[in-house]
Amino acid sequence: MAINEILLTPSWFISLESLFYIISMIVTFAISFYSYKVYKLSENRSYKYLFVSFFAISFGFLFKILSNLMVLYYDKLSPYHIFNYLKLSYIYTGSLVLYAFLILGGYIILACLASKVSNRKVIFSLLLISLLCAVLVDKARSFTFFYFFSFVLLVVYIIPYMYENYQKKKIRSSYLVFSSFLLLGIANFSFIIRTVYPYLRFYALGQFISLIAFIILLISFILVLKK
Amino acid sequence: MERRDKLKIIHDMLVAMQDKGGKIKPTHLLYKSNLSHSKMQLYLEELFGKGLVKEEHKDTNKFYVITQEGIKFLENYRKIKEFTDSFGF
Repeated sequence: MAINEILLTPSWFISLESLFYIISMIVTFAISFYSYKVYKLSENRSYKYLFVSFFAISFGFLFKILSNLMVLYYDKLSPYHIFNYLKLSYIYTGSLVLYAFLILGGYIILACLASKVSNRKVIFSLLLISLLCAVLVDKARSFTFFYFFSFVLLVVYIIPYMYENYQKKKIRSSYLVFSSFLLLGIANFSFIIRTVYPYLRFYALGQFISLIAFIILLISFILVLKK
Repeated sequence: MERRDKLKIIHDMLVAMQDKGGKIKPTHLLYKSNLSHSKMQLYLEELFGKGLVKEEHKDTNKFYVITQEGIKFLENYRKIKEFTDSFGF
């Protein structure tokens, strides 16, 4: 399989997309770090799971960045024996599978927190579905299942919960968090449209919207720290 | 009455000390913290362990005194509360 047979990023956009993911990775890592701090102080398990969720998402972005770098620097790396074609191919597809699994894993934890699901069988089943979606990125050479599953988790569980929280608390930071996840839902919808109608612009649009979502999350986090 | 989480209880105990000029008698703390004696002792052990509170003796009286760490905790509490409210978990 050619290294970029499952590439969905237009070539002109790969560098910019990598920058977007670096920013998103830093934001999600910062939130995971603070969640862990809150968990240590409060011993509230929800914040342990929030830490795990954002850490998984952050790590997922790292693997996506790695896969983009494989494509960007393929010509420079492939002459080296250690980076022969086969290995680069495995690193590339492996990175994408891990990206998909970690992002979905992060969303599943958030969805379970939002719907107060603590049944381990349910959580395990959802993680198995996410693993299937991730493997299909390689086997079916498609992100379709990944985007659909992300969209369902966001729209059915996470966004409504964040909206209810904003309605209850009526504070600026809860509004920003809700807006952020709403934009992530819209971004995912854009990716789904792209899989049905392969106009590359929907992909870039979705990534721009995702970036704005993470910037809003960052703003919310900064406002919290400035309190 | 809304059930308080652990952080809120610790916050309320430290605020009770701060409101009394930084130190408080055990009986006053019991009243202000709205806890049973055994619960208050449990939380005090944690506060001592984390260095947020220390014990002082003056004449025959015992006082619980908020430390610099305790004051820092109160400053950080607002941030933590805002963070937890923003996600709502």
